[in-house]
Amino acid sequence: MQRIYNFIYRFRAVINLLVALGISLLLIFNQDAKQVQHMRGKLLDYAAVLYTPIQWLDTVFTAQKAYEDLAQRYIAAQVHINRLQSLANENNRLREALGFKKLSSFGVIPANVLSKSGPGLLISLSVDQGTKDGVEMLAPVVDANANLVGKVVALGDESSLVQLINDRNFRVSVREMRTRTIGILGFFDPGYFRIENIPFNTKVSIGDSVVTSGFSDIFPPNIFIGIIQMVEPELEGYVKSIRVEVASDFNRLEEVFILKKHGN
Amino acid sequence: MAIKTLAYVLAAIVAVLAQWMIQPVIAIGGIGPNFLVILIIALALQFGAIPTIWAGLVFGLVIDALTASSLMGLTAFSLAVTGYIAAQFKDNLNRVIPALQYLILLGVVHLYFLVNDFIYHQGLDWRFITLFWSHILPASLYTFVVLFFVFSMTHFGED
Repeated sequence: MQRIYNFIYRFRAVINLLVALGISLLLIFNQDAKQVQHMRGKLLDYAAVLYTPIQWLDTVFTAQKAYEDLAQRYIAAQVHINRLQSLANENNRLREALGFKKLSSFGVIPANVLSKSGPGLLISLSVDQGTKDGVEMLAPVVDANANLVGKVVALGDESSLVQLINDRNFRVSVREMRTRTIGILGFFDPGYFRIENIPFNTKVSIGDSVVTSGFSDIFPPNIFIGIIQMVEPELEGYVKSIRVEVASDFNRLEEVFILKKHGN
Repeated sequence: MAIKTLAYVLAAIVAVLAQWMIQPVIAIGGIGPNFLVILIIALALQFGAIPTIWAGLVFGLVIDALTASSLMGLTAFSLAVTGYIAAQFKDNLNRVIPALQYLILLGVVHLYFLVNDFIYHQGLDWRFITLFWSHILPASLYTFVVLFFVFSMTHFGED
């Protein structure tokens, strides 16, 4: 018994380390467990409280300029909406005539960015809207210009965590608008947004637009992501990859919009 | 001793807040210092392995919860390992020349980023050499520079 006690005492630091590593590994391998998500949500809510005064101060100093910017953008957007509305009406009439299913509609929940963070690169945002405001897990998030920003990955009652599309684990099904080519966009080695394994004979060009394809339960179709920056042929010559310049500037995000299914 | 402990508790709170709020602001090209690594090294050299391992676990979990890293627990894992390794130098770091002391600390900082990035990028289409040059080395150096300033300014280790 004494020898066991001596052994434990001698290696107490290593034993503590192994227990701590065991706890971390348990969490790493149980990412989707309800308890883990709940703990994350609670911590986010507490952290959001810290940011509230900072955000309030920021709002006071920038409110006037923000109002002027918004007023200009509102007028421009209203003109654009009127034109789009007439096109949407025409499109709906034609879809009805052809017997297509109705497109699902989306509502938006505006949210202020509380903080931006990541282990190295900026890969996440915490925002001041949570389950109480109707935010759902995995809801798509766009910026003020309706460019794709990311998706909600953790929820608190009054705040949520948004995983940005430049997280290396983020993948989204996309469509190139002109040729209608489908692919998977990711943030690949060595730090570019790329759509890989595109058939070599696909005629994509620099400057073509890339949007979400809609082939996913998470992202609705036609959310703008960016433009094609470069077309890179693969060594084998059968496929090529496309480098994409994303439209959203993650470093400057101050407010985002969380999409909500079946909204107005 | 109680005052010293209180000072470290305050330093810990500052480090967590700095990691969460300030690190993204001072990041250069997306690469920023890791204040928690600096804290953990300081704790390890002051208090030894066991308190540091648990501090690393707790602070790591807090930061993991506040960032969208898909691996909750990874920072905790890396900080616990880093804390344990740093604590091995607790009683003998002062016996070597200052230049070598900082070289050892650079090695410990580097170890954190090696462990963290290596696990984080498992299963992803990233080559280690690209990771090393594009993230691990710059982040290690940036963190080390901040560590150097913090330790110099606070006269750390000069009891």
